[in-house]
Amino acid sequence: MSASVVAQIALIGLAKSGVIAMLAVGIVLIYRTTGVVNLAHWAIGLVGVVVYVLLTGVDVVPPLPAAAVGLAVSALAGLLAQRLVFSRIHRGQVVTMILVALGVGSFFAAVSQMLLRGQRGEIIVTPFLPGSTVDIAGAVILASELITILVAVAACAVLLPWLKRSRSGRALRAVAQNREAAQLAGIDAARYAELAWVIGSGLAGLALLLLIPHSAGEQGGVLSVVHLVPLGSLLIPAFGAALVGGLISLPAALAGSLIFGLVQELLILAPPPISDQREVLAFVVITVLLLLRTERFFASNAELEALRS
Amino acid sequence: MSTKVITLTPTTQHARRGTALAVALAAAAVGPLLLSDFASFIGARIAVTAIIGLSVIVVTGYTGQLSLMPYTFAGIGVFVAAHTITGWGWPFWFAAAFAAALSVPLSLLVGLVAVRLRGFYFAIATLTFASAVGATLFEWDAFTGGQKGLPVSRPVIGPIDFAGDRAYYLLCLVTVLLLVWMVMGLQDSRIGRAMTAVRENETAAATLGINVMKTKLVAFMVSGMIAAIGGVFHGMLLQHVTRTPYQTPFVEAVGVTLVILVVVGGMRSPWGPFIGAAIIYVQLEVFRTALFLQYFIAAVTAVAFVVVLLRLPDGLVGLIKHEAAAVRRAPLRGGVRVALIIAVNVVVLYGIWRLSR
Repeated sequence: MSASVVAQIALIGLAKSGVIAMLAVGIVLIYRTTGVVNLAHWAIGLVGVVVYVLLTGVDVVPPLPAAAVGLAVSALAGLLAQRLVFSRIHRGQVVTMILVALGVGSFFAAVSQMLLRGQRGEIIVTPFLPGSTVDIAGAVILASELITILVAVAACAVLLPWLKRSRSGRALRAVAQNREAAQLAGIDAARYAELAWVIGSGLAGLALLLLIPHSAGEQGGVLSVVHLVPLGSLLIPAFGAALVGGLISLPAALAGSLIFGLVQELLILAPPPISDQREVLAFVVITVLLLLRTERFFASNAELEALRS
Repeated sequence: MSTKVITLTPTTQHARRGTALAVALAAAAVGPLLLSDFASFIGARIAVTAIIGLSVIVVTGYTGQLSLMPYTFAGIGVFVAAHTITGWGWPFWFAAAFAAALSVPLSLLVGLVAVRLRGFYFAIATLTFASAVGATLFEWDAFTGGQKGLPVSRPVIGPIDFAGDRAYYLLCLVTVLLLVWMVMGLQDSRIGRAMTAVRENETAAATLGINVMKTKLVAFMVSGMIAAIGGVFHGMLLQHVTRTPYQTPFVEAVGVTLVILVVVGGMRSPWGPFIGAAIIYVQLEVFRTALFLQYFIAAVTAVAFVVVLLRLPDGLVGLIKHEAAAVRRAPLRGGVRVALIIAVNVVVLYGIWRLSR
């Protein structure tokens, strides 16, 4: 096995990690501030992609601005979901909350299919990133994959310090840690909950816009039936990544996205029983993470109580 | 002159309710038969979906555990039916019992996880279980017949051949009614009450001396068995089965649709899945020609689902009970109200149907 092949697989895995990381960060951000386990995350991102497909399909808007509009639509969809639906549910009603998230996901998936006028099968999507390949020390990958890695790193490099240092970021974390105390300190909890939804949903839109329009390399992308369903093709790995940090810790979620992207891709190089069963292994890892109840390691009891009440 | 005061004793009320139910059931039984073979096929599909939906009632409606893998259990039933009925020539009821038995190890495993995990952790665990079973058991070509799938034949009982859609519809209807009756009995039994207690508050249930672990395990076993039996009937309905819908229930979106229709129908009543399935499948068939409208219906159904979750915890069954009570209290006002609701719905549906032509 030559080093360049390993490097190539690793880079492809990193690009997948980048997409998973952006989804996972959104999931964590929304869960921490509002207590919603967002099963609608994929579908909200998908609405942005569908708007992008419609805008580029009629050749009126150039691809890059269309992608920006798509991203904004995803963020708006998230804002509406929070304002109209999720803000009305009590945090203690866990089963209702999950079912509602599933319903909101189904709604946005159905709206996406409606916007595409019920076209069945695969829809060819114009890319907005270059389709050329890049040679990095013998490893040849698509330019769009390299850009995906860079965008994911940049998004995290902006978001994490912002959450840590800026006034809004600190307010957001205050709401996450103790909503009532934050409100007593004069923070508008409802507004920051909406901010978390906007950022998280925007990231979901960005992740899907980097993934789907470039999924077929030179030809652009293919929007197929595996994307057009409420849970999409990557939402479960993204939940797995977020679960590494107990849906609470962002750095741990980023480490998790390396497991479900990079490590999973690298296992292609492992001997047959393992390389064939990579997906099953991922499901086993997620189940183990669930059973470990990883949130214990990342939050105080008080914070866990706050999430559930 | 003396004024005669007529009061309805509980028994009379019960009898009236029984009459209403009998009329509704007779209509359900005869309606599709009078229409066409195709209507009977849809009727059978509704009945089969209601059977699989009953598994959701037991585990989610009664016990409060959100399992998102009913179609995995149904898949076991489907392929067991293909092998035992068509391959080995077993009678269908024996195949159904066998499928139910085979579902037990998997449901015990899921139940054991449910004992440890609560709320959304458990829901996500069932999602990964569904995917894992899809990637292993249903990937096994000898069991599922690979890409081509397997044929399933419909039963012949004595002189009656259930191969036709009309006869098969009646068989499914009888089966679903039998299961509804059994699930109703379960709700009133000791273990059924324990399930309700566990749903409302696990800690409180435990202090009352209820064995929470045993209750959950029983709920999962019963639920898995019902779903597997539903799978056997689903296999016989389709007559040819492939693995994809059971392997990736969320790509095919059937798993989500099932949960949605059960909640819209009413999660706490065994009639809920029946009503939910009837509404969704009849609409989908009426608007079959227009894909756009099908997605429109899916979007509207999702909105209805969220509204039901937020405002009507007992779904349409609860709404029907509420309106029926209103009619009993004030027959005229209540009757006009119900007639208006039905009229508005009929007009809206007819309008959409005309637009789709």
